[in-house]
Formats: sequence, structure tokens, C-alpha cells
Amino acid sequence: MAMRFIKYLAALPFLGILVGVPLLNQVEPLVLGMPLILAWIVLWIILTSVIMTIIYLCDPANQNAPGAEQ
Amino acid sequence: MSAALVIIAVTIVAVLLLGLRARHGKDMNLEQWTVGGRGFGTILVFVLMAGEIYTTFTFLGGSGFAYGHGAPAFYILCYGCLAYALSYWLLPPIWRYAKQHRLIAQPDFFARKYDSPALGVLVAVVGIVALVPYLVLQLKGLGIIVNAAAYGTISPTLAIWIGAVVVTAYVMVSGVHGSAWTAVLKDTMILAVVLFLGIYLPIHYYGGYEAMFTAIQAEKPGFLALPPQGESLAWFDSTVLLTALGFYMWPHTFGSLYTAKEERAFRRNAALLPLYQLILLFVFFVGFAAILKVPGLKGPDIDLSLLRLSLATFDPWFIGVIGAAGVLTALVPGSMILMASATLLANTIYRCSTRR
Repeated sequence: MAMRFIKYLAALPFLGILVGVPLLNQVEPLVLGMPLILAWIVLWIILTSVIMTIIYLCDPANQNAPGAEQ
Repeated sequence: MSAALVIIAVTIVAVLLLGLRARHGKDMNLEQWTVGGRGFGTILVFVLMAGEIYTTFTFLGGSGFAYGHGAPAFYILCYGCLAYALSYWLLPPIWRYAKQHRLIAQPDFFARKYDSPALGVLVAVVGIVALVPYLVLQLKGLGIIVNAAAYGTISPTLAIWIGAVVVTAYVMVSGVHGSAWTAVLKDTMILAVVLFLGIYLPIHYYGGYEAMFTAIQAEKPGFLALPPQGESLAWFDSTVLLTALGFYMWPHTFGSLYTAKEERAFRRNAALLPLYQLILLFVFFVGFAAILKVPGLKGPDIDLSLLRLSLATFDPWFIGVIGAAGVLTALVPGSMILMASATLLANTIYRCSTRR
């Protein structure tokens, strides 16, 4: 049941990149040596992996034994 | 024969042998040839999907785009990431339908789903028209890489001929098995080379990333953010969104999803592939490092920034390793494009026209 809500987390990367990048389009301050806009994009790439992992773990479709899926 | 040339030649022979050997133990039929008998696990699906995305464009174009355009290059990092999030829900139903109806190419899906062979032919024609320049791009990149890494002793034309013959040979013999196994070699090598270059070059020339970006910002203010005009914020958002939505429309990408053994492979990859995108970050670092060290490349020459900076930095044997990795980024996607277009042409267009 948790999946019903958790799947909406996948909308966050779209917001982070399509809305976030225009808001943070600047070079300074450098973050971890990278321009702010680049660091922000890298952050969202990592977060996308984290979010998709959470969704994967919560999705009942992945919990069946291999081959038992429809 | 220079050390670089020996390493490149050995790699090309290794690809050929690996590609031919991939057929071993398979009873070859059309389903085996195009979609590997639908028996690929998460790892092979991963390298296939990653294999067709990390092409010569990534290697030369990614660094060249960062060198010549600056921040707009970041869009290449973004669209894949969004496409992978979508793939979690997009690919499993397509895979299920394809398995159920034993589809082998992209047009089959549309022809069957909409019960219209004509739509299948249209999809195949559009696919082929899109694939031809993409294949040309790979081969042209191959010519540039070999020519540069061989210090001009091999002409681009000769390199392209050799590459095209090798790819055609192993695609004909092994089909998608050849692409998958050579993709394993390619991804290992490109990962090592790009990580090394992206870390070593900025530190070697500038002392670190912070110093490098500070120097670029001082030399070219605003280059590291999206400009107000041209490749602007509106350009960025629309390009990222459009490219993310169209990501799986490439016939060779669409076709490679049929190779999976189970649909969980896609969901796992939806979590893994975004991280893999970070290879591109290191490609960009190389392009940025080149800005102040090999300045003055203009127009199409910006694509040479990685090779020029490498030539100015490393011994011939390491240029050979870089060149070999570059050759692989051309051959592996080239093989998948070749296979997809052959399937489109033979299975959809030719078969459909002879049936009438």
C-alpha cells in the first residue's frame, strides 16, 4: 500500500532538474569545487538513484520469486 | 609501428574475436540473433543499455560540448536521469507485450499493438532515417580517434573501413550476443579511462577542481552558467524534457529491451543507470581542463579537445589506451545500430513488401 504514495517520489527529479536548474543557474559559490548549477545537477542524479532504489524496494512487484511475475 | 598503434590494433582484434566468440553455444535463429532469446539478466541488459548510450558522442562530443559551450553541456547529464526514472514504469509493460507476442523489433510493437502493418513500416522507415546519421557519426568519430591516436599514420578513411568490416563481421555472426559481450569490454575500459582522465587532468594542470573552475570563471565569466540567450534556461528545460521523453524511441534502444529475461531487470537498472551517468561528469572535467590548456579550437574542432589535451600530456602507449577506449565507444554502439537497422529493413520493410 505504501507504494501508492511512494511512487510519486519519482516526480521529484523532474522538479529538481526542470525547476531547480533555472532557479540555481549560477557559478558561485563553488560546491565541492564545482559550479553551483553543476553540483545541483550531480546532487539530483544521485538522489534519482536513491529515490528509484526506495521505489524498487517498496514495490510489491519486485518481491515475488524470480519467474513468478506475471 | 608506435606503441599507440599496437594497443589500438590489439583492441580491435580482441573486439573481433570476442564478438565472434559470443555466438558460442547458441542455436542461432532470428530471435536469438536480434534479442538474445530473451535470456539476458540485469547485468547484460545494463551494459547493453549503457553500451548504446555511451558512444563516441559521449567521449568526443561530451568533452567538446563542455569545451566549446560550457554549462549548456550539462543537459546531457540530465535527460538520461529523467528517462531512467520513467523507464521504471515504461519498459516493463512493453517488455511483457513483446514477450507475449514474440516481437523482435521496434516496428513490430506498433504494428501489433495498433493492428496496422503500415504503421510498422512507417516506424521502420523513420527509424532507419534516424539511424543512418547516427551510425555515420560513430564511424566518423572512429576515424578521428584512430587518426589522432596513431599520430596521423592511419588515415580516417582506412580506420573507418577497418572498423566497419569488424563490426559487420561480428554482427552477422553473433547478433546481439556480440554487442553485449563487446559492451562489457567497452564499459570497463571507458569507465577506467574517463575516470582517470577526469581526475588526473584537472589536478595535473590546475591543482584541483576548485582552482580549475575559478580559473575558467576568471577567464570566461558566465561560461559555466546557462546564458540568458541562445542555449538559455528555456532551451535547457525544453531540450531535457524532449530528449528524456524520446529516449527510448531509438530503434536499437527499444529493441534491446526485448533481450531481458525478466522485467525486474528494468526496475533495477532504473536505480543503477542514473549513477552511471556520472561518467559524463568526468568527461566534462576533461573538456573544461582543455579550455585554458589547448585554447582556440573552433567549430567542429571542439570535438578534438579531449584528444588534443591527451596528446599534449601523455606518452604514446597511454594515447593508445585512450584511442582503444575511443574505438570501442564507436564499435559497440555501431554494432547495435547496424543490427537494429538490418532488422528494420529485413524483418519489417522487406517482409511486409513481399507478403503482398
